Amino acid sequence: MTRNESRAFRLRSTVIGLALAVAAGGIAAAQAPDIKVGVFGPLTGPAAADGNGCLYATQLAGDQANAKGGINGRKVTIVSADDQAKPSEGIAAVQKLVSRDGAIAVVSCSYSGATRSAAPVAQQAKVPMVVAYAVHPDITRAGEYAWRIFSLGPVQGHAIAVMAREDGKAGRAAVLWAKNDYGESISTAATQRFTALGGQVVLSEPFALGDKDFTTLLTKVRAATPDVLLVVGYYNEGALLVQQARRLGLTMPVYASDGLSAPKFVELAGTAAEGVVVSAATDLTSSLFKAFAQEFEARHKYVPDSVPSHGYDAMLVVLEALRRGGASADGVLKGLGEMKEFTGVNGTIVFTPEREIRTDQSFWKIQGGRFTQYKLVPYDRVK
Amino acid sequence: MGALPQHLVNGLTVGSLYALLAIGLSLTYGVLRIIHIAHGAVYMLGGMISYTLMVRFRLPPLPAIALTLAACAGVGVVFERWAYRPLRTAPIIVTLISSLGLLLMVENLARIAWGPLTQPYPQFVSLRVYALGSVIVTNLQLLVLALGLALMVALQWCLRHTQVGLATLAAVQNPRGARLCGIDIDAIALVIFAVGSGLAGLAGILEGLYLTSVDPSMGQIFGLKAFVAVVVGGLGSIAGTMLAAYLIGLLEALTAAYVSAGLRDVITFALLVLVLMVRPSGLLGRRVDRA
Repeated sequence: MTRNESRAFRLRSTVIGLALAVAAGGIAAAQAPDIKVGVFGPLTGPAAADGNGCLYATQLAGDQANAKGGINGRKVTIVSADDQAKPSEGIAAVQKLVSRDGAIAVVSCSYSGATRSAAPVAQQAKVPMVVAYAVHPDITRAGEYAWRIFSLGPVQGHAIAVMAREDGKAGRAAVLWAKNDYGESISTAATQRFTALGGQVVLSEPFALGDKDFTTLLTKVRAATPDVLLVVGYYNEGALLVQQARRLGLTMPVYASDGLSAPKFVELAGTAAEGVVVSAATDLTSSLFKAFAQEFEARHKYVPDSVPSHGYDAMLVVLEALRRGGASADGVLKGLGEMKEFTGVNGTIVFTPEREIRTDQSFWKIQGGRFTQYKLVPYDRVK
Repeated sequence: MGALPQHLVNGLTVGSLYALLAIGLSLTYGVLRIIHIAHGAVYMLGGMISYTLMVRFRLPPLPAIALTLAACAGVGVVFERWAYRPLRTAPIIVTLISSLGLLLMVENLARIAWGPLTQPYPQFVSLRVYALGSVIVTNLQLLVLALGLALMVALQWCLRHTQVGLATLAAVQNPRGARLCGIDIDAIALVIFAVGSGLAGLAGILEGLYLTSVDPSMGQIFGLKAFVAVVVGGLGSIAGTMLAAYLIGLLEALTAAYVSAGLRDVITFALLVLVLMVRPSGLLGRRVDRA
């Protein structure tokens, strides 16, 4: 062969090879087309416990659906992406899930920052996104493809204020909040409602994610002499904060946001966690929750909290939408629209026209190193 | 103003941790002109290894600490021998990149070995709280402060009164001159890496104890702050580095107290820029040699 001939031969074999590969792929796709559902969340980094717990729960829901024959005979496969709880990675994660992995629906197992940046990407790709537990109001404002099965940040903030004022009988509150979307939206609402209920917020201070030394902030809290401490943040910072507070001799009751409703919070805070009341939109006494928790614990050797249980519900909502509307992005959207009401492990939720939910806000208390069901604040009081 | 003494105590405690970490960086820069970013990884290993020895292998605290310090010193020696020495004559940017690579590699290995999650650190010193008027001081704060100061003093003594110490000081002042006088820079490099890494490991243990938890990412921001202390204090100036470390601790506490905790890191790094604008050689630094 001359040089040109050999080059032509190589080119031809490459083209044939490529064609065969495409055809093989096509055949494979025609035979067993799994329905791909994307899940993104912080799988590494400081928020990894939440991201992985939520992902495990979606996988559990998917496996259970497959065990019962899948969706109209087709299997569901979960494809995942790590956003490290960073807004920039949230965008990349959804782009990967939709364009590379071919997901026809996406579950957000992430925080507000990453989910907020991801929502417009899903909207633009016309792929429905069901948000498991991110709270920022802007997320669902991205458009008709963004749905949420968790209370809005302000709703939770109002509920925390109601609890602190009435259950804690507190007149003076100090609010310490994580400096991000989540912390800001919940703490602002908590401050407003606490004041509206006749209380006084004597100190409101942000802290950065990853902070470890809270002694200075707590020294300020001590000087402000509040009756109650409201903590809006996540378990890592929350555990250190509560522990250091008790060390400095601050004995006032603590009411915290759902970011602290993780087993890791109790593990890290130890005895300092005793008596802390956390908001968590999960009713621990429901039989559906118990069944889910049992299955989850059998698989992953730890007791799931609010985050995995909402990941599970988000996946159940997607599966139900798939059943109703068919296995396409438009089908999922149609299915979601038809689903006015849905009962998952966290109770019955009703979707509003804004693709948000109406649901009561539940509170847990840490007793004997475990979360126990404490009180409910009805939806009418916190909207 | 009533809380000011409390803020000072809190700031000095954290400053002690920064100082323990920064001292190794200052020595390595002084003798070898290396920007040893991977020092933060050694600090993290101090926390994680001691955690593992106590929790997984159920070792009592003292042997666990001894083993951890030895391991950290060993890691430092390995870094010097195989990551830095082959690059001794290379431009500083090459060593910097090598160091950055080490930091990322060790951190990621740690994340694989221990998982990414924060772990509760065994509290082997039971907490005591002392109230001095309105100021609350814990025995852990006193321990960190006392240990930090004692080690600084001991280190300064060794530098001035032992042969290795004097040789190190000579090398810090003028590496080329010291070499011409027959001082074995390789041997000194190994000693300062061993000592500096041991101190970093100790800082990691103390952080675990004081802040009650450790995680594989803990070296990043802490290492960076120690580096700021080295630069602000004056590159190669050991006394300046220690002074700067305590100042940064205080500044952070006062920022969190009187400005905003959310701005703490911003202000630390703004200080770095400011000091470099006004005094490019740092607070106590001399003119930097251009080798």
